[in-house]
Amino acid sequence: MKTSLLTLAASLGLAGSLAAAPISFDFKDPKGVNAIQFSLDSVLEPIAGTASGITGKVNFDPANPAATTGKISVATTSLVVPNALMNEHLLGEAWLNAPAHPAITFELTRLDGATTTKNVTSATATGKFTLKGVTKEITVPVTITYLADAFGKRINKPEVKGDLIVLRGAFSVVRGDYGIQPGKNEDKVNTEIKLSLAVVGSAPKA
Amino acid sequence: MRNSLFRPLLASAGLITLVGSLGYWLASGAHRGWSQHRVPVGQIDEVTGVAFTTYENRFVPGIEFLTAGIALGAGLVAFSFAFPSPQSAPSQS
Repeated sequence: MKTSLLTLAASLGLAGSLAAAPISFDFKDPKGVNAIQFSLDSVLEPIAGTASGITGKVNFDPANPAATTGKISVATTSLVVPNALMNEHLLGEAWLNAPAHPAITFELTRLDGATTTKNVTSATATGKFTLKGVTKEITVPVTITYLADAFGKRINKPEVKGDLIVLRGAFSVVRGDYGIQPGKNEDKVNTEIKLSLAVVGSAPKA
Repeated sequence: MRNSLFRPLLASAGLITLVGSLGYWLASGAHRGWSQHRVPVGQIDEVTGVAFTTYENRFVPGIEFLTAGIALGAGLVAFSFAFPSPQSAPSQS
């Protein structure tokens, strides 16, 4: 009888762990290094910069990566290029119009073809990408690296428990599709904007 | 100021501007792109392996800075020829 009860308890515990809720990872990075890199071919040299104002949450279950959901936002005003005048133009009304469109977002709607090797999941993410107020569905090949118990080490406080995920991906969009100078200045600035991201989400444990 | 002094002064200012802007551009790394008001520096987050960029707030002159400096310098030298040279200027008594 005692053995049966122990077996039942163990089974319930196993079932409970299998049905564990996804972990919510916060992409507002405590180290402040999260950024998306962007690049457009242009006269003389590519216009390349970063956008560091990243926020958002991704719900990731290491046992079921395909069920991942979430949304990542980037503050438009956080876009930075090395040249100050170019930066001013980039955020201005003619280009991104940052005051009117303060956020660039990607909302994950589904993750297809998820395959996991060790702690790295590769998949194709489909979601709604919003730029300058225009929303389009895009697909992005992504990898999600799950780093269990790495949160404390990353913030130099090993006593703090928690997990990390690293979300990596790269994709391109056509600026004209999002109302950014459609059909204009194409001889000076390429129509294709290349974006790549490698951002860290944190899930500290209370 | 005597008119005869304009020519050497303008020519000198032009040459200083031209050589100075070329020297500053070369000394700052001869950057062939646009001027940079902040310089990207690549770094790696050790725990996650994520590459990220920080910026150093310093000015790196670009090709348009060099072009403007050379044009201004050459313009000053050219403009100096609008004034008589000290040798040919009529003596004032």
